[in-house]
Amino acid sequence: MGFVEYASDIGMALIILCAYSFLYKENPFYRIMESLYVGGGVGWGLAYSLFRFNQTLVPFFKDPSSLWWYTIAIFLGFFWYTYWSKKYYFLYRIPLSYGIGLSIGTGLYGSVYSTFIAQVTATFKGAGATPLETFNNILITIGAITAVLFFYFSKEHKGALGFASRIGRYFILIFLGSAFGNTIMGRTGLVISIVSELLKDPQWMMIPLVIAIFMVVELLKRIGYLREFSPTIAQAFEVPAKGETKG
Amino acid sequence: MAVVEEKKVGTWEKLASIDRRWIFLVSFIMIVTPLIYPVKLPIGISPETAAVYNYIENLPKGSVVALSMDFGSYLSENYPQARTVFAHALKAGMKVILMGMWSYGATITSSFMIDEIRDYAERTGITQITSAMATYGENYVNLGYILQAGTGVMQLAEVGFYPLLFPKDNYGNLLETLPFNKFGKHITEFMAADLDLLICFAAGTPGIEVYRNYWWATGRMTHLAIGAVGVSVAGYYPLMDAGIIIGIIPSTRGALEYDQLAGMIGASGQSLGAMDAQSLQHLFIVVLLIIGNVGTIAMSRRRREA
Amino acid sequence: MAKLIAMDLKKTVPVTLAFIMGIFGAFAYFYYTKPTADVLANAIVFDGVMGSMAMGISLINISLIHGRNVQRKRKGWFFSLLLLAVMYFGLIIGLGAMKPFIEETGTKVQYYGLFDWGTESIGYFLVNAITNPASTTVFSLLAFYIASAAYRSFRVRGIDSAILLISGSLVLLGQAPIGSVIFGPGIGTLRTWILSVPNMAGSRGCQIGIAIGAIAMSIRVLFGYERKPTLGGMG
Repeated sequence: MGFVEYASDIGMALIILCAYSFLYKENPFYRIMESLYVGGGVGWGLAYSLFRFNQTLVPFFKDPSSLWWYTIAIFLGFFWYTYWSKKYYFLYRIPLSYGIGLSIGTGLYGSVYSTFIAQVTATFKGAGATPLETFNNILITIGAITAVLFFYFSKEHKGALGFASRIGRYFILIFLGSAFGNTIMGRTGLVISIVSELLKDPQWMMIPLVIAIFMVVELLKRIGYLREFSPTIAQAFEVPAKGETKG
Repeated sequence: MAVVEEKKVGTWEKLASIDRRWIFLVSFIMIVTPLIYPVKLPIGISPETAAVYNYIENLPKGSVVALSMDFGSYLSENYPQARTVFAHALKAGMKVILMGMWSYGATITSSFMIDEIRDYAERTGITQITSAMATYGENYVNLGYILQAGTGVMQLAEVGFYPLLFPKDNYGNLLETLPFNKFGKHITEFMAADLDLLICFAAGTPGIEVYRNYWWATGRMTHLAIGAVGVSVAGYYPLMDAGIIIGIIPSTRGALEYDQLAGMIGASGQSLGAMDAQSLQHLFIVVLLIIGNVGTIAMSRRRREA
Repeated sequence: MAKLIAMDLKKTVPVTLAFIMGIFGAFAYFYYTKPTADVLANAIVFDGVMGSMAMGISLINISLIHGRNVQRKRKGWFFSLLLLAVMYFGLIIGLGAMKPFIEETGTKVQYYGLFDWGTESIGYFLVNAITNPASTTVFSLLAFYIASAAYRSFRVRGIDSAILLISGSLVLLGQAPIGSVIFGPGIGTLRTWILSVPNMAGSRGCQIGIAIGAIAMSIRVLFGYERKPTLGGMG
């Protein structure tokens, strides 16, 4: 294993353990991990975007005369950055409104058809091949209609509407319960991936090291050290300053 | 002098006031133990995963399957799904296009995936995959990151892959220099309609809704499937029922199911011990739910009697 | 008077532009003709190039917010300084070469940035040691909090919470292999049925409701009744 891969594996283990230290209590190591993650993610992501943008300009560099309108797009694209100007703030609205208008207009057809028409059509299935399938189809129809009625707030939920919306609420609760079950599966899967990586060589060596450091720090705290810090460090690292903690 | 009666703290009260960090620790032990000592309980195949597998199996050899890597890290739930589907598609003789609307997934993670599947195929002796991956650009191509998700996906349907959106691939190779083609039609002439299947491995937004709105709804390309994270799985069943997607690969479990279907255990990078860890954790949570509720009932009964 | 007209134009022009692009986009999709489709295709590419230019906004915004923290030495300013340092470092490194370790076989299969600075090792470390594991680990913390919440907060107080609890538990046990070991293969079938029928019905109802709301909101934005989206929050 090369030095870079070795260092990456050790770094990965330390970052994971810093993140999991939050489960014990919030501490500066978790904050350091957070800063590294957000900073690295934004910087690196922006570099990718710049690289990709450079690639999409390749046809323009090849034949500027046929794609002359790219220059207008790039010029208007600089208007995004007038957001921070008090005098020229209004120019920022031009690329924003163009993008929003086009997205809404083109997406309208898609959302109307796929999220509304297709879903409503699929709700009414009719009889199935077997009695169970017929029962399922009836249940789906009742469930979908009553769940939509639950969101109808133009009339008070009383009488027949009240009964229907209550049934709809039960179907929505089944959906939320299923989502809860699947969320647990998903998040547990993430923990499993992380722990699987952590148990590999050489990452696993960081676990006893970090636990040992943690125990030493807790011991020092018990005997009176590392409880309070100078005002500068307290302000920089958001830790208790001298005189802040009692006992 | 008033006599202070010592309040007896019952077992349920003690259990109710337990520090949550003990629950975290037990949770962690429940997950780690099966990973170190796996039991390898058998897992069933869900129909939604089988639907995706069967669709690829029934495609003619040389069809184009696109994998939209709309997630970030290779430690996420989508990565094992993408790995196993990529391996299966190559094994089944499909041509694969990798792209995505998330920068990390489409660029770095997809590159790692290519590496890892090549290693896996060499280790396990799956010659179909090894020969398919012999020359980059012939049977698979990594196009990379779609810069503006919505407009980019629209471009793929209305304008095509080349030359405006993907003049080059993820590695900087000009698309016209790559041999990738579908029954003679070169990739530079591809539109979205030329894809035979697109599987969106979505960890969030942008994800399948972009392809649904701009491809499926407009009829440009209607063969979609999804590799979903656990949080979103429950919400994709209406899409499958309405025929918008042909199947769902749910979380890491789906990846393991797919491994079994394809007969390539380990292609997803996950071991069966992972499902043992899932099992213990799920059982632990159900037990916690029961204990918590039984304890609340017992404590309220005691208060009423008192 | 001129000032009033100018002020009005600053709001009217963007709203009108959004309306024109929206109506044109919707028309081109709802009523397909070749000429409108060609113009739409160019409009989409135009938006792609123009929209991509906004990529620097996150960098500037973060620099301003965290720069202020460092400048005014607010609580936790060290973390802001660290974030800024890593962000600019990551940007510079990312613009260099980050080469995955794939053998070159004639065709380039190595990822490169705008400049070939040979910074691949640092980039590899930044991605593999920091950003990749950090993102997944932060999301995975929720698994522990769910376990804690299941024990301390999730109480059955009526029929509503009972339905939530029972459906959640059945799905949980049905999708783990141990469920089949304890309760038999029927639990897996029950889980599939719950997800495909009642869950699907409830989810569909929610999605139709959300779709109606989204369509109504889209039309309101297009016709200028909602100005905040097109005026950048200063409508």
